This record gives sequence, C-alpha cells and structure tokens, in this order.
Amino acid sequence: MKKLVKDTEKRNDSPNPYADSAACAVSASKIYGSGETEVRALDEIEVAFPKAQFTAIMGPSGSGKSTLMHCMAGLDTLTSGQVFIGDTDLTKLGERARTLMRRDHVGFIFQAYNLVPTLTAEENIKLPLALAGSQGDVDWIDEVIATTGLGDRLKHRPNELSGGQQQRVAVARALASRPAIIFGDEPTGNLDTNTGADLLSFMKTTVAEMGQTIVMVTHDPISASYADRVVFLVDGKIEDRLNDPTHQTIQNAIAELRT
Amino acid sequence: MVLYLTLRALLERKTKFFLTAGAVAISVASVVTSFVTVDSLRSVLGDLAVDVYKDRDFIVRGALPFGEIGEETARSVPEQLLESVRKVHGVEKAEGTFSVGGVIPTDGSGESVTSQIGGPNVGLGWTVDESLSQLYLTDGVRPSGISEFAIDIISFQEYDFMLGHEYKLVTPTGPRTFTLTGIMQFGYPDNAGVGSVISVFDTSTAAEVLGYPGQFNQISVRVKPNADPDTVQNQIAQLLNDNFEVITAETATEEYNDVFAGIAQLLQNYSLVFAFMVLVVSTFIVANTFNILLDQRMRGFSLLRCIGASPRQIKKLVLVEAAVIGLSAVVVGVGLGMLGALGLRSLFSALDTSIPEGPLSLQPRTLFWAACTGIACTLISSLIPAIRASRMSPIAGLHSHHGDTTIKQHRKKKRMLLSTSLAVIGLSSTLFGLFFDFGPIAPLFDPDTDQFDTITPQMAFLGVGAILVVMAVTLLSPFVVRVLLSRLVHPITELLGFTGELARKNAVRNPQRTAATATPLTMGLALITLVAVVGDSLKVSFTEQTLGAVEADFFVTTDLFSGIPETLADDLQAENIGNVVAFGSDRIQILQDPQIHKKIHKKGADTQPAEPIGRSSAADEDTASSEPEIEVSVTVVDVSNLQAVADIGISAGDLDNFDPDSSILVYDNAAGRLGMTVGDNIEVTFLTGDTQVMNVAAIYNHRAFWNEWIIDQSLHDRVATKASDDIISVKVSDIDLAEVETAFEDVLALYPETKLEDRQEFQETTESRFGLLTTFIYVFLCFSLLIAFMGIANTLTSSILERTSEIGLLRAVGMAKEQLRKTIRWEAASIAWYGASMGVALGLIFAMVAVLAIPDDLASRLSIPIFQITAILVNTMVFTLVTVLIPSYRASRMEVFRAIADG
Ligand SMILES: Nc1ncnc2c1ncn2[C@@H]1O[C@H](COP(=O)(O)OP(=O)(O)OP(=O)(O)O)[C@@H](O)[C@H]1O
Ligand SMILES: [Mg+2]
Repeated sequence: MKKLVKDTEKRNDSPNPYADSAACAVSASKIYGSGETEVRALDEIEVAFPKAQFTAIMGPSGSGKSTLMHCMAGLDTLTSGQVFIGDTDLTKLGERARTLMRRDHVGFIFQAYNLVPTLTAEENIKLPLALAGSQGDVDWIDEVIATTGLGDRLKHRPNELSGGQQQRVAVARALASRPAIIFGDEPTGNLDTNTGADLLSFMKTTVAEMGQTIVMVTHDPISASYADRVVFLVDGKIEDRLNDPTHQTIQNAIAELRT
Repeated sequence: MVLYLTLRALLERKTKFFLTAGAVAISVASVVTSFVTVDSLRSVLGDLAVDVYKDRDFIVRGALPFGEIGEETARSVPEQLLESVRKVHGVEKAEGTFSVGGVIPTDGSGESVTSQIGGPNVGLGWTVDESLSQLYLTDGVRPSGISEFAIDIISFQEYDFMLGHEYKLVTPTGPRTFTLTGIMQFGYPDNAGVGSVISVFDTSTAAEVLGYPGQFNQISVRVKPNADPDTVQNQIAQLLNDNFEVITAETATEEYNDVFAGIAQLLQNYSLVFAFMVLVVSTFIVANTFNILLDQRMRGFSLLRCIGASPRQIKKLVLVEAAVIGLSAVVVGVGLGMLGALGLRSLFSALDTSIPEGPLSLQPRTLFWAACTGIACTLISSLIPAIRASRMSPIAGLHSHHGDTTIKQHRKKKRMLLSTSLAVIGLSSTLFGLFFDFGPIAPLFDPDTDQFDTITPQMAFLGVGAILVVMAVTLLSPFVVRVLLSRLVHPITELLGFTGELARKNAVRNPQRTAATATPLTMGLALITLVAVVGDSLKVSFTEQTLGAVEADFFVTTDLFSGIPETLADDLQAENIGNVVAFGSDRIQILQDPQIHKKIHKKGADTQPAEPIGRSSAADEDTASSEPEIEVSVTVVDVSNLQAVADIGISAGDLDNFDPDSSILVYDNAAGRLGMTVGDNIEVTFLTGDTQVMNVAAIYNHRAFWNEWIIDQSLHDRVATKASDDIISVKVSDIDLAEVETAFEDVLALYPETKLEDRQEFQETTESRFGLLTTFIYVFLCFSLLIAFMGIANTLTSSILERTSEIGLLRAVGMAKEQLRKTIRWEAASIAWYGASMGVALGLIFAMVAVLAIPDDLASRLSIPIFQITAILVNTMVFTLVTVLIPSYRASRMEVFRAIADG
C-alpha cells in the first residue's frame, strides 16, 4: 500500500493535496458507450472527502452522482483517473481486492433493498463481519446497535420493520466494520420527512461522536443541510462547494447554478 | 399489436425467455427420450421377428400338449410322416427341416461364435429345395455328408472363417469337427436371419448331429398352384393323430412374431411406467418455473393493465407468449430428446445390458406427449397468473410479492387435512396389504423366467399405499422443509460458516418452491433405494439359500440360451474325479384332479389313465380357476446322486422310496399351495404329449438352482423334447482343488461358452446376475434423476434472477464472488440433501414393506446395501453441485451496481 501511495505522488509530481482525506477522486472520468451514444457521466472530476465529515452531493438528475458513488465505493470502475480510499488506489486493485476493500473499509447505504430479507436485523448489521468471518469489535458493535435505538426489534426480519427502521439497520450495518468511509445514495429517498430527519440526525451523530466519514447523495436541500459540506455536481463536473450549509444557502446555490 | 408487443417483450427479456423455454424444452426432451427409447426397443425386438416361413404353404409339426410353441420345443416328426404327406394329392413339395438351438461354432482364432445382439445359435438342415428352407448360397458349395457345414454370411464376415478349413462345432450331440464348404444367407434378397448364428448341414447330417435320428423338426409343404389349399390342409390333417398338427405358414409366422412381440410388450410396459414418471416430473418442472416467475409476471400484467390493457388483451398476450415459448421448446426439445435417446442407447450398450441396438423410432404418440408437455403445460402454467392478474386490481397486482410468502393459513389447513388423510389411507392400505391373508396366491415371482408375474391383490394394496404415502409426503413437504432443513442441514451448514447459513436460509425462504424442486429428487431416490434394497435383499437371501443348500465344489454354467450340451456331464464324469450332477429343466403340466386321483388309486398307481389329455383343452383352459391343470417348471436331475452335491432338505417322505420312473419331489411351498402330501398321485404331461402318473415321494424345503418340482433324469430322457442342462455341479473327492480344476478345464475346452466356477466364483456370478436385472431399472431411474437435477438448476437460475438486487447488495457490502458461488452451491445442496434424504428414507420404508411382502423363500431377510446407498447419495450431491455451476457462475458475473439498479 505504501508503494501505491508513492506511485501517486510520483504521478502528481507534487504532494497529494488530498493526503488526509478519507477518500478522493483524481481527474476521474467515466464514459458510457462510445461514438454517437457516448455519455460522459464523470468528466475529469477532482473531489476529496475529508475525514470525520458529513458530505452531501447534490445535482440534477443524470449529473453523475450515483456514478461517482459507485466508482468511489469500488462497485464500478473508472474509464480514466484514480480513486483513493485512504491510501489505497482502487483503480490499481483487481476485482477480488476491491471486494475485500468494500467489505472491510467501505460502507454503503442504498435507497432501497438495503437488507437481506432472510436475515434478522442483527444479522444484517453484522453481515460484512460475517462475510469476513470475523467477530469484529464487539464493544463497537454493541455501541452501534445501541445508537440505532432498535433494541427489541433486533431479532426481526426486514419485512417486519418499518422503512425508517430498515434504513437505520442499513446505517448500522455500514458502521459495523468501522469503515474508512460510508457512501449513501439517497438513503432517505424512500422515507417520509420525519423519518428521514431522524435518520439524518442519526447519521450526523455518528459523524460528530464516532468520527465516521459519510458521503451522501440527496436531492433534498433540507437533507443536505444536515451535512458539514455540500458538493454540487453538474454534467459530471464539480460546479460548486459549500461549507456548513443551511437550507437557505443551499437553495441559493442551486438557484445560482440554474442560471 | 399484441403479437408485436409479446415478441418484443420476449426478445428483450432474453434470459427469462431462454430460462422458461429451456425448462420446457428440457422437459419435452426427457419425455421424447424416454418414449423414443421405449419405442426403439420395441422396434428392434420387432425386427428380430421375420417372415421365416415365406414360400411355404403349410407346416406339419409336433403339437404341444400345453404351453406355447416358440417358448417350448415340440416333439419331432417321424420320417415316415414325410412320405405320407408327399403322397397327399395337391402337395407339390414336402421337405423335413431342422432348427435346433445350441450349435456353437468356434472360429479360426479359437473364439466361439455367438450373436452380437443376443440372438440364438441355431443349426439347420438344408432341404433339397432352396425355397423351402429359405437358405441361399452366397459362396462355396452346399454342405453334404457328415463332415461338412455352411455358415451364415454375417458370422462369416465377423469372425475368422475360411472356406475349406476345418472348424470345431459344439452340437447337442457333443463337440464335432466339420469342414466349412459354403456361406449362405437366410432369406432373399435380405438376410432375414440377422441376429442369429446359423450353421447348416445336409438333412441327414442335421438329423444325426442335432440329435434327431430318423426324425424331423418339422415338415414344410408347398401346394401345387392349381390345388385348393384348404382341401390339402384337411387331407394332411387326416394323416395326423393328436400329437401332430398342420398349420398355415401365416399362422406359424404370427406365432413366431408373437413371441417377440410378447417380450417387447413386457419391456415396454415396464419402461412406459418410467416414461410416464418422467412426464410427471417434467410437468412439475415446467409448472415450477412459471410459478417462480409468477410475481414478476403478475407485476408485468398489472402494469399493462394500469396503462389500460383489457383483461382480454392480457390473456391474448399470454396465449401468444405461451405458444411461442411452447412451440420453440417443443422443436428444440424433440431434437434434444432424440440426442438423449442416442446417448441412452450407447449407455445401454456400454453397460452391456444385452439390450439390442437399433434405429431410433419416433412415433406419433411421442410427438403427441411432447406437444402436451410443451404447449399444454406452458399454456396452463402461464394462464394462471394472467387470470389472477386480471381478477386483481391493477395496483394490488403491482405490489404483489410472493417471493417470501409462506403458505396462506386457510390453504395450509386444507393441505394438512388432505395430506394427513392421504397418509392414513395409504398406511392402512399398506398394513392391510401386508397382514391380510389373501389366501393361497400364485407366486408373484416366477423364478424360472426371472420375472415378476401378474400383480397380486397384495401388491396392488401395497402399491396404492405407497403412491398415497408419496402424495401425502409431497403435500406435506412445504411444511416440513423448514424444520427438516434445520435438522438435517443445519449441522452441516454450521461447519460451512456464514455462507452455508445464508444458503440454508435461502433454501427455506420459499418452502413451497423448495419442496416442489426437491420432489422429483425425492421420488427418484425413493425408487432407486427401493430397487437397491429389494434387489440386495433378494440377492443376499438367494445367495444364502443357494450356498446353504448346495454342497458342490464346482459348477459349470453357460450364458447361452440353449444351455449346456448333455454330453458335457458325461465327459466330466469320465474324468472320475468326483460326483458330477447335471441339472436340467423342462416344462410339465400337472393334473391334480381328485376324481382322477381316486380313480388312479383304485386302478393302481402305475397304470396310465384311460383318457389322454386333449391338446387344445389343456392349452386354452388352464387359466380357468376350476381347472386343476397347472403348468410348472420341473428340474431334471439324477436323483440318486443328488444328495452328493446338494442338501434339498427333505421335510416329509424319504428319498429311499424314490422310484426314478414314477416318483416326483415337491417343494413344500408348492405342496402347501396345492394341498399335497407325500404319497399323493398326480398326472404329469410332458411336452411330447406323453402322460405319466407320478407319486410324490418326498417334500423338500431347500431351494437353490432347482425348481419346485424335481423328476429323475432317466424318466426325462424317455419323454424329453429337450436335451440340455442348465448347470452342472461337481462334488470332488480329491482334496487338491487346483488339480481338479486343470483336469476339468481340458474337458471344458471342447465346450466353448461354458465356464467352470468354484464356490466363490459361483456366488459372484449369481450375485452379478441380480445386478444385471436391476441395471436396466437403474438407468431409467438415473435418467429421471437427471431431470430432477435440471429442475434444481432451473429453480436456482430463476431464484437468482428474482434476487438480483439482493445479490447486488451482498456483493456491494463485500461478498466475494466465490462466497456468492458458494452460497448458491450450498443452497442447491441443501435442497438436494433435503430431497435426497427424504427419498432415501421413503425408499427404505417401502423396501422394508416390500421385503416383508415378498415370500420368505425369495427374500428371507432385509439387506441394506449401505455402501451403494451412500454412493448414490454422494453422487446426487456431486451432480447437484455440478448442475448449479452455471447458474452460480452467472450470478457471480453480474455487475454489482447494475444488479442494484435492476431492483
Ligand atoms: N449503465 C449505463 N449505461 C449508459 N449510460 C449510463 C449508465 N448508467 C448511467 N448512465 C448515464 O450516466 C449519466 C449519469 O448517471 P447517474 O446515474 O450517475 O445520474 P444521477 O446523478 O445519479 O441521477 P439521478 O439523480 O437521477 O439518480 C446519465 O446521463 C446516465 O444516463
Ligand atoms: Mg442516482
């Protein structure tokens, strides 16, 4: 891994500006199709997600938010450029190594279908650990489970849980292996406002109190205001960044981008 | 429009189209394979039956007092009769002919010549008129005189023969040397004798060599062109007494063909059962495939209805879709099925089951069933969701999700009730069948023909019981899957860690589907276990009984249908090493009428009864229950020497009282059935028509390779139509067995196709004979297992498709490809393990019942071939793992982010 870091240093010929980020993308491009039907989903993107911060990604539909998530989480590969999780260049890893990377260092929360229907809530939370065949940090997991506030529902199957509870389980699962970073693709997209707000505060708490790094895609300015930073994506490029956003500043930024 | 929509939909969802069409095609293929195999067997056996009596008008031959010509040998025709027949007005030509089995030539390389496809080895006499014998010389000259013979062209081509050279031939009168003078073919222009090895002699040589001095087998008659055939037949008939008959050539041909048709019919009846089993299993798989895709289909239909499609339009769409899937599946399936039949045929020949090879025969009936499986099943299976979707509100249908549902409560109760009552009825039927006394019934297993005879009421009750129990188990299966899987599979998956656990949970998430997938496997394995256990029990019992009763040190046996020439026993005896006892067998008819019984007693035991038994009455009426005449197999042996080689276990009477000319020995079961005791008199009719009153000298209770009736060799020699032995047993006085063996081998060298076996070898061949009996059944059953495996692969492929997003999730959170593959493999293994263990358990239960039901003298004890059953189980698991390689590989190849997006 040291060697990989050196490689990037050499390539950039300068100290890595994102050296202390949890994850970053370096002139990352993703092109779907070719010729006439070519789509540039990510266009030479440069982005870094600082450690222990909650970042929201916003942008119009089709701007490449999901693509960025997938590529950064190692679910999909870039056409060119690099993606780092910590010090590891994902683009240099094979399929197997990327899977292990995901299992051990990346958490993921989807909009829906987050849980394995045959497993109980608790088993779902421990899923990445079970796949790794490890016990994990027992105290940590107990702490995570405690913060979900699910308590007596832990032995229940996903179909016996509400949508909000299911998403909490998903967050807890993402936290369980103490990943370097958690990606969420519209995790509150299927929830009503109140339940969504609960989940977002829960996520915010984990960042603030547990020092977790979270990156989340959202369409909703209110959801985005829970984050420490907002990144705006348009046509596969970062168009704007916003620190300590509020509902209002986000609205303004969006309005500005539209013009 | 609908057609366009459907075709577009089918083409876009290629995976699903190929999945469903593939499942249907495989089912169609299985059905086609089994029917084609069955029909081909039939046509091959049918081909063996040929127009052997062409160009003759009448046949004069010995009449059988009972039984059927073809299976039994009739008495021969005396030479004088030929002269009388020739003098009949209107007879153009009449010739005496011979056709006797057991003539085995040895070729130049010392190899004995036998038929490639299990046909007989026959010796013929060449009549003066070629057209009467149907023999056509293709090369050389016709044999004439005591030292010349001709051979059929096929044997000539396939073995090492040269015209003008001397060859050794084993004949019914012993080994002899002949010069090969000619090559001939049977029938013209085609060689109709295909399948037989034919050696031909001139007529007088044939009479001597084949053991019919001064006699013929038959007389072939041709009528003058201007004479009236009926008149001629009548005139010939007037020359004959009851012991002979004149029949038309057509009748003779029919009889000849009937024998083959009978064998073919029997084979077909057995294999048809399997073919239909395959049909049932196949429809299971088609229905299951559609059932799995039900949710997706329901959602699809509901979406269309939301957009505004009418229920009618949806039904039409489904019909078109089913027709497209069904038709393409039938076309592909028939092709695959033919390939399968080809494969099965080569498997049969590789396994050396002595089932003849022939062209494949595709009957219209096969196509009918193929179309039924393919199109009808597809239609029904796909119409159900369409109808359901059209009844539901479109929105409810959109959200329908059956994937993880357990069975609805009210249906559960109904099912429980139904299956419990089925189980109760089934079990009581079984118990009734087992313990109710049906009175004396004919033995259900005919040891002489190695065939199970007609279905007895007991068998019927047991069979119905077994079927009901299977149905109950099938219905109950969804309820017990969860429990059983945790009991049976949990301990194993525990060892496999998390992926194993996940696999087990996947297997039980839809118990109905798992049960339906496992059922074909359960049925197949239940039958295989049944056959294995019953076969082994029969084998062990038989071997134990045989070796217990037989004291001989050596056995001479042959695989030839025609048996061992009688001269071999004499040659062995001449070596003077020990006691040589030959066992032959014959058919006799027994008359046990009490009236006659008394009459005979008054008249005295050794006088013949006044009225001979009419030949037609005996043959036609022996099935009537009031008829006291029964046809049985009798063992022919030198009784005075019998005790030297065997302990037949005399339970009543005494062998000292045995009079070779008029005494008979009876097995105690037979005696019990017929209510006979020592001292009883019975009237015995031989195949020659001779009758003889015989006295039951003793009753015995050990059986090995002898029948339920025993008569003496000397008596049989006088009344026999057949002169061959089945087995020769030798008890040596000398201690040095090896020396004995070499001495015997010199003699045996003269008799090709005979084998000398010591006790150990004899036991092994006896056991392997049972093995051969079950091989055929195994092959068919394995075929049905193959379909079961495909069913498992199919279910998993569909399940994987259904769980695309779940698999995406698992991969996203870090499940490695091989972990995913492992999960899928173990899921399949769980299903298979469940189905297999249920099957073995059921099979064991059925087998125990069957062994209890089979009479003790056939299956005295239960023997479970543990090694064999374990091997079957292991193979089942291995095959399952192999069959899911493709689905699991495909699942692991799915791109993760796309899998998520698909949800
Ligand atoms: N598999 C694919 N093949 C071709 N083009 C694709 C594929 N996946 C995404 N795209 C294209 O890439 C672009 C970015 O897609 P992406 O899913 O990242 O957008 P998004 O920002 O997540 O949109 P939304 O807010 O609707 O979820 C889009 O124009 C999309 O059409
Ligand atoms: Mg998206």
